Amino acid sequence: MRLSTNPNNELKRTALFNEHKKLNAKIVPFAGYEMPLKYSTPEAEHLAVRNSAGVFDVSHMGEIFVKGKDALNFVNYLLTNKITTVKRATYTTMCNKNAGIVDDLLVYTIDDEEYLLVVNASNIEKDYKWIQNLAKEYGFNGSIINESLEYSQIAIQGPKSSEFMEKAFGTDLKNQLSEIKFFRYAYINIDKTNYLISRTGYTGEFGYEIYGKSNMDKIFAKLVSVGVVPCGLASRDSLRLEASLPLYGNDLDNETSPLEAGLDFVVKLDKENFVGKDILLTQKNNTNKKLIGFKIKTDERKPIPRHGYKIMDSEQNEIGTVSSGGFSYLLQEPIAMAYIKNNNFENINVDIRNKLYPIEILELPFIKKNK
Amino acid sequence: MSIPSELNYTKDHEWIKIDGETATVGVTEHAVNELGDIVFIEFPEPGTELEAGDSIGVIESTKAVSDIFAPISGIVEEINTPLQDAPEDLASDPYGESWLLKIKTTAKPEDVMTAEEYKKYIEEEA
Repeated sequence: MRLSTNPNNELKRTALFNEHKKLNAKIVPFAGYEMPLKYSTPEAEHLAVRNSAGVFDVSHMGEIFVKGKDALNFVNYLLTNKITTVKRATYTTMCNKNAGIVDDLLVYTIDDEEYLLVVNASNIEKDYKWIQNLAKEYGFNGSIINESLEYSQIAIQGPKSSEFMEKAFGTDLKNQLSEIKFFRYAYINIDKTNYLISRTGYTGEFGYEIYGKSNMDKIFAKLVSVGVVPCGLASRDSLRLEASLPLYGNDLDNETSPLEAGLDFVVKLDKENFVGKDILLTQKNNTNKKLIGFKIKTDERKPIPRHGYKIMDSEQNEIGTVSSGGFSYLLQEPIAMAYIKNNNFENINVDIRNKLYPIEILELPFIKKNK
Repeated sequence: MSIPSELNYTKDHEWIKIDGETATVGVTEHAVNELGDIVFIEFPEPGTELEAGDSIGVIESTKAVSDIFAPISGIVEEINTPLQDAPEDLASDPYGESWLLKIKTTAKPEDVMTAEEYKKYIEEEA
């Protein structure tokens, strides 16, 4: 991919861009931003997160605030999961009327009347318009504000995340962090600035996500200086795949429902009416396709099953499609996820460049998560 | 960056060396660096007839699938079978032990560059 040298081009840069340049990151365009793909090698960065700690610039993600007297009811109408006034983060999908996924996102309950939706970078504009349209339909009179350009976000992930946060910012901070339970958050002060820090992440490891509007480049730099390995988009993808976390665009899209994607736990069918509920009710225990994990059954070297490759049954009928695939550095072999129509998984194959490779269905997640 | 002067090079970052009626083909060090971790190599079958420019196989790294192109017409004589079981070895000796295939041919390679020209070519590509 070409490094952008045109100062007038349309690609944005996060507030941490200069840090990536200092570290000689390979920069590539992603979701309208110039983002670091890797700093050293994807494998080294991946294994650093599994064994030590890595730090990611995820400032390209979107932050949309929904505020108002009726905000709680409105977000529950918008989203499939149940949002409450408990101050925590909730993972959920946002569906259209056909129960297709518009986006998958985190919702932070900031206050009874204020909710922060953290959405995928590639969907920011789409989600913002969607929420505004639905607000009109619903009759929501509060405010919907897209603050994506104001916020930066950093993720520190790995078993030694706490240790490194202490090394960088002190024992007092570390003690505050240890109070934050899984999927909870707190406002924490670092050098006179407040940051929202949650125990969340996209790698399957213990760690934190940090949201802030200023000095985020200094936080990133400080973490790197005490030994946290800077990690780019390549390792972010291989890590989330190993943890079987879905990626919008690959595993999730507007023709796929959360029940088909195995995201039953974010669909609360006993909730009052929400967008997509009626279709989802018909899909309960009755989906047309199902997301499964697999690997290729052979002792020899194997190719990687990639997005779009077909799954065939023993009679050469197409029964599915690969949604995500890659190389697992922990398992040292290719792993993939696919949507399959059947329930019969005997003698099925993946077609890779017109050659059929027998596959073995694996239980998800591919690796045990240590969050 | 090594670019041996006795070899010829193609725009697709392959090298070719002719010895009598045998052309040995491999990929350059530059290609290996760009590819990243190599996990799989698809070779053509020995005995396959090739036309120059045909896509005859694939080198797959964790990030992408790259075609191997026939730099010359002929018949596949031999493939580097040990590489099939250890594709990562491609990175260690791309001009020597990790050649890809040998083609039986009497043709002359067309559209190839000298080491000097290839060096310029990759500098311009960057």
